[in-house]
Amino acid sequence: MGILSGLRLYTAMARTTLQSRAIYRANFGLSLVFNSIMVTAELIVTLLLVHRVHGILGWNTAQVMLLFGMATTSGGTYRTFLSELSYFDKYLVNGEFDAVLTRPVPAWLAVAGRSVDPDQIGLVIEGMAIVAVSGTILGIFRLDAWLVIGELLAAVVSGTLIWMAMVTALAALGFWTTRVDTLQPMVLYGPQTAATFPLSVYPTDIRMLFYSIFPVAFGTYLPAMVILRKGPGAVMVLVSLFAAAAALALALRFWRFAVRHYTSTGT
Amino acid sequence: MSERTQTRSPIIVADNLEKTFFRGRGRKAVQIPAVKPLSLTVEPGEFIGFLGPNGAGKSTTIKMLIGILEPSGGTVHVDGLIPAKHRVHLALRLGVVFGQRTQLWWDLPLLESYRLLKVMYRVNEADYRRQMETLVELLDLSSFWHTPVRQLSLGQRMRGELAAALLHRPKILVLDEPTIGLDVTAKSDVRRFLLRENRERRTTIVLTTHDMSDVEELCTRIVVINQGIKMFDGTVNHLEERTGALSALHVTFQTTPLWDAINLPGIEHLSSDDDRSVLLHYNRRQFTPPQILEQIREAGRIEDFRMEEPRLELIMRTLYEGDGRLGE
Repeated sequence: MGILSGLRLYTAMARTTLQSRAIYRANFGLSLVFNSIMVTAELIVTLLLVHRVHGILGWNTAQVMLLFGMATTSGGTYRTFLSELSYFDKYLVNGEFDAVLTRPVPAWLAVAGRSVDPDQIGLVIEGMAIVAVSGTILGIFRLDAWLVIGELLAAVVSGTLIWMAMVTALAALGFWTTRVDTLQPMVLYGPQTAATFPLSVYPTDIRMLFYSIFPVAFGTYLPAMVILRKGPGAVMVLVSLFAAAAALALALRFWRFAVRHYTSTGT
Repeated sequence: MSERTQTRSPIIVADNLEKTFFRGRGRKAVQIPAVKPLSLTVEPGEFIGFLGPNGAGKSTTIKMLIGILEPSGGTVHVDGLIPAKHRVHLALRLGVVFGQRTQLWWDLPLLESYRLLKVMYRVNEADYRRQMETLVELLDLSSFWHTPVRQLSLGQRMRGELAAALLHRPKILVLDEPTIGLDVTAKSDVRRFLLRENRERRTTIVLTTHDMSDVEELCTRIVVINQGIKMFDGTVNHLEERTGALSALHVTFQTTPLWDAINLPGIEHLSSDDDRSVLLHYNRRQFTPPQILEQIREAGRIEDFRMEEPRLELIMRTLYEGDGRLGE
């Protein structure tokens, strides 16, 4: 399937999904409030922690806040576009995946098409606000503002792709195990939370994991180092983008392999 | 049939198709053969019924034909394509209806589902309009066109599902228990529509069902599967010839009968609802009802009796409970 026809198909599916979600519109405001309370609470805990130890290995409170904002933005973006994949096991358990496979659409695209969830946009807005506030405190926009904004956008894209890759790989595991929900905190939320801190706080072997199996480093830490001018050159932003795209491509490959092992359910 | 389709190539060819599931892991893994080597050829325009008890392997076979499941062994070609490999491509030529599961958008009116299907199946505007007009008329969809699917009755929903499956004018229509749960009127609406689709448009239809009257009214051919094995492949009449013309007689006695006196050669004592009545199976060519009543008079005074009609149902039950002795 070509990229253009895939995009056309995705747009049509997303439109239908949005229409069907619009029926439960009251949820929107509610989840906006709920999300923002969650994010704020998490942010306060993180910042208190950093503040108490007077910064982490050369990262001050505002810098950690920027990292946190970047992670929240990309996490929100992923959730806006691919929320269903986090609960993908339900498709397998109740046999809904059968119906997905009868359509002339690649299975991943079909699930993505049902995943658009505007309720999650709140996370993106809050993440961006945190980035804006911390960035202003840090004065990163004072010189080369457009370059920095470009770098931030690229970081959000890589962060989103990394999330998508990880959640896709995890969903694919669901074709063999029904315990995806127990794995989820460990292999998905664990690394994502870890990525809201400067990775230099972790021992080397754990840090290596965040550059390989759980490649969250390319979504937050590495681009943040560039933006904060902590050493790596701007090229690392592109490297991160490339690594994130490669991770998603790999995850999709694994997904396709997994779909061929789908065993369906009895009726 | 064979004369008409002789020059065409078959639309479905399954050769020793097999599916084994694994339950558990490692050394404890148990192999469960769901479909044992099964071969099948379907010509274009056939209306073929898949029959078998629950867990017989019907759905598994169907799922391999439409590319949802990858076979463990053997080969299958549907309209020249390998389903599991060319699933997306094949889906464009298939219409699929699962009776137990909706394919429509639950919260939206039918119209919205069709609009999306139009894009999915790459149907152009003119074809879409023409086909939609026909379907709306034949399935009488207009009265609930704007109602969200979740508010439709089961009969209305099934009509909606059929229209969804046929929007892109597929060559093959696959129906998994399409009449399940429908009332008599809805069933006959669905059947009339399917017959027309098959006879007029020559759409090949593959159907699984537990409803024997579906089969008697619709199918030009039946395939009986039990425990993953094809036990019969042919017409309804052909099946009757093989199994004998089975009939059933339901007899109620005034008091508990002498059961021993009912054990007659050639008559199968099948079941009793209570201690006064009994269901007997016999071959119509061997006995007549008066003969049987005469023979079981010894057992007790007969209060009431009635003939049980659905012939095929009986044949099926004999097949399922048997050991495959009717197999080919």
